[in-house]
Amino acid sequence: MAQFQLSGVRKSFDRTHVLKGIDLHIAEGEFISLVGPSGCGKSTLLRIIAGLEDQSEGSVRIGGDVVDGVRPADRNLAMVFQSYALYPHLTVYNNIAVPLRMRRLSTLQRAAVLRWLIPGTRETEDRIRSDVEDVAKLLGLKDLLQRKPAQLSGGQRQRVAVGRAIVREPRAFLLDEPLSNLDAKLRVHMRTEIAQLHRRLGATFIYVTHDQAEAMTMSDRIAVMMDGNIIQIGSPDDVYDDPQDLRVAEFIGSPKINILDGGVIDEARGLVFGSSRFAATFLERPGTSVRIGVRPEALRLANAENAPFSGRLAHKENLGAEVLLHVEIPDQRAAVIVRFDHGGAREISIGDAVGLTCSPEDLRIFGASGERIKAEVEARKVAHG
Amino acid sequence: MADVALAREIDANIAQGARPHVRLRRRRMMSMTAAVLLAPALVLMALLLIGPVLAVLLMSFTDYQLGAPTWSLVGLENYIELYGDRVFWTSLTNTLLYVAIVVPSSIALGLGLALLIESGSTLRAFYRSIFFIPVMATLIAMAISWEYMLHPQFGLINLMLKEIGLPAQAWLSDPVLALPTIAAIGIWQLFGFNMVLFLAGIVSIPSHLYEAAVMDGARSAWSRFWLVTWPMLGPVTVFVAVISAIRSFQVFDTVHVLTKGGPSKATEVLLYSMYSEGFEFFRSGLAAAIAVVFLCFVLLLTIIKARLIEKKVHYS
Amino acid sequence: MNARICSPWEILRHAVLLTVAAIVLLPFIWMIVTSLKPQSEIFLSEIRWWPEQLHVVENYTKAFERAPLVRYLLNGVIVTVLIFALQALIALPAAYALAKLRFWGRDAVFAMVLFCILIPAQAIAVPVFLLFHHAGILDTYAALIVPFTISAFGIFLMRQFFLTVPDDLVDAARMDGISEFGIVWRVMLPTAIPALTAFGVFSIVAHWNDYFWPLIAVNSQELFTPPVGVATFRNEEAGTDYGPLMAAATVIIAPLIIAFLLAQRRFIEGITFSGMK
Ligand SMILES: Nc1ncnc2c1ncn2[C@@H]1O[C@H](COP(=O)(O)OP(=O)(O)O)[C@@H](O)[C@H]1O
Ligand SMILES: [Mg+2]
Repeated sequence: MAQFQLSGVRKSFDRTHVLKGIDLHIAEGEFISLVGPSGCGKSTLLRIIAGLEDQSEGSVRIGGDVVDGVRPADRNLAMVFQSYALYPHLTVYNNIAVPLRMRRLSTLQRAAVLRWLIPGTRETEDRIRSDVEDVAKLLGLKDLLQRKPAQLSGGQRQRVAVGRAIVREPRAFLLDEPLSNLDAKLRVHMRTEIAQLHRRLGATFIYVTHDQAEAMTMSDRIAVMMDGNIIQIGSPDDVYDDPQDLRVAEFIGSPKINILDGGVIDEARGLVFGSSRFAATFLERPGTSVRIGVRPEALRLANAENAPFSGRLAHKENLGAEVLLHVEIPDQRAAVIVRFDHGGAREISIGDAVGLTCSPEDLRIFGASGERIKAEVEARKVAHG
Repeated sequence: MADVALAREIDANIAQGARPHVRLRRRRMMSMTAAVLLAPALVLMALLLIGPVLAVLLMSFTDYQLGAPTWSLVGLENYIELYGDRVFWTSLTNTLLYVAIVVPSSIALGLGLALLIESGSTLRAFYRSIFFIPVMATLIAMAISWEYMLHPQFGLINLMLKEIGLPAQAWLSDPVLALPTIAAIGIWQLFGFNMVLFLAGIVSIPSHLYEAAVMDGARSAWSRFWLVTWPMLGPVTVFVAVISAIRSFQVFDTVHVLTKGGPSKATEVLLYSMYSEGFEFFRSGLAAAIAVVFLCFVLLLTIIKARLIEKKVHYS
Repeated sequence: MNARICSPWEILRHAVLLTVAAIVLLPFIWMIVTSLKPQSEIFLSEIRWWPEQLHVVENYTKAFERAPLVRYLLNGVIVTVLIFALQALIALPAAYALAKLRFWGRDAVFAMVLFCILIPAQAIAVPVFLLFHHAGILDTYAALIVPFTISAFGIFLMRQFFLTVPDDLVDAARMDGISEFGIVWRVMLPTAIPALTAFGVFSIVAHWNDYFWPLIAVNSQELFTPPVGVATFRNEEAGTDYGPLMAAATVIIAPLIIAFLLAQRRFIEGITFSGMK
């Protein structure tokens, strides 16, 4: 187990800057997710931590030691790859045993011929066998040990890849989109299994994913990456409730946060929200236009006449446990999505006029370039119309 | 956020000088690994392929003879000698003639048999294997069998001709017949290879193209061949032609065993000329000049083929 | 099925194909039949498809007595197996480096490999012969083997194959603690078995049958490979004693033909796939 300290890590391939100065501290035993859209540099960062790639600038410390230039195998980290990277010619048993054999047996003891003649080989192989069997039992792979990877289903392969990682008690686990090749149902199931595994092992997990739901459900902390930068780090709740950037707000949460145009800070330092005006304390100059984010579950139905927003119900998405209303509002770019619990909004049908409102504390306000504007929005409506 | 600030501080405190050094060492290690892995191949390539190619070019400008105490640069003299040498011209035209006979015949035979095999559903693997046997049988041993079959008096071929009332031929000792006879053996040896390439080509034609052709009114197999098969096999055919040409250019075994270039140089081919100059008369310089001519032809064909492969890769 | 075999077209197809097959096999059949005949039945002015008097034992004994056929076959095995083993030993690490490592000069090295593929062995026979002459290794096993230890085509083929092996697998091996050299043999080699088999078939067939270079490189009968051996046998017999000669030829081609009949698909794939060189 170990803590990680990344300082000013940059990486360029030829002339493209893939990582633009990453600073990150990961505590011992923490489950941290690196989440962001494809191509933002998550895998590159993970591979730099693993030692599979050299950073162009900056340093990586593991457990206090600078590991720049240390070979991957010597960093004692385990990695689970997106494609699982199982050795196709080896059985499940041997796949899981490889990291142990590489560490516990000498070159001579690994040689195909005469290996049993060298003292200690049998004892070590016996210990390896019992370790592999423990892991197999833990992951439910006991009956599959003699199969080749080609004879396994996707979920089973994934489990073998995890088994190969946990068998040797590394300092930390690096996982690069380990679930993205599984079908939706299995993916949800494996989320739980991995989270439980983390709890049981108590080791540091660094988990890369482009799926915000995975990050939200499993992590202690989430690092949101965009374009080679980490733009926010925090607990899932922090990142969800208190996004520091419009891109974070839009990336985290499903369905997506509603972004409403037309919020204007007026001369009275109030916030114009649709047809309502709230008292608010801003640092911004009066007259600046802002963008307002509201989560779908924060919106409520209101009387169409005096609600800040009103529009027509364009589509109703019934997901069973909840219902999503798509409300088209004049002058807004996209339909606003409102989330209701099961059975809510039953009386509204497509085409009906709908009024929407919300509490001011649920408004998230962003500047023109996407930065979060801290503002005290008071519950008091200042004026109307 | 505090983490970030902390990290910056720590980073600022770490000595900047040490790390690039480590990284440099690491990168150098990667190059070292590559160098170690590549070293045997590079050394052997330099020693056994690239060096000799340069040497053959150089030697072709010298009068080097194996065993002679001295040698000197003679400029283009070897090439001039070749240019004025009737035997060399015979050798070159014979080689080209051999290629001109073997390539079209082995392509036609290979394509025809591939189509015939694929036109039915039974015994396909059987025929394919039978026709492939000559490709891999030791040509020298088979040449000896052919020699006996072509024996003017007791050979099977002439005896069969006699049965159907045709005159016997002196296949290998008649200057007119010798080269075509050698070429016939070449065709016998090569067409199975071409057939397998055509079979692969035919199998890869999507069957819905034939269905479309039928719907479009191509009722006979003949019209479907010209509408679908032949155009679709176009690239394969060009490819097969170039490969066959490269292989035919290298004809040597049959000539060396059966005719030694005779009768009266009727089967003298490039490689045989090079062999006798270089390894029987040990006139290495002259042999090198012939080798350069041979190399030019084969390189030309190989480059054409490489172009074709490149194109094919782009298509897929 | 039966209906289709009996259709007129199917009958015609088989008739044509069987005829061609018979013609193709004729030299083999005639060689074997002749190897069974006594001298008196060989020089006949009529076709005799099957000897009246079988001389199998006599002809084959004579063949083995007059020429060290076993020695030739053994040389063939030694030479082809060593050539292929060395080719693999040298080409696989190089192909791995070219496919999976990033280093300065990689493109230049690969361009060099591509150029080397273009060089036909016969064209450089003269300088290689002189090199070996000065190195004093003509007329040894080394002379038969060394020129072919480097196969630029083998490097190219294996590199193309390695490109299709996922990078993750290599990275996983690095994480597991396998050295770069270990990766070549323990990870890449096992995944490359199909490609290596195809190349192996091609290499072994090509060098078992090669006549040009062994003819130049060796003089001593103990070192003759099967083709040179049988050609020499024929020259010594001056083409008179066909029975033993055909027996010897049959013995020489037998190993490859038998191997071929046992694994036809492998052979056809290997030779055509690699033969496109
Ligand atoms: N070896 C490489 N050479 C050049 N560019 C690369 C290499 N690896 C990654 N990249 C580029 O770096 C960017 C980030 O890649 P990656 O870290 O894999 O993204 P992510 O995992 O977030 O999807 C991508 O634009 C990718 O094209
Ligand atoms: Mg990635």
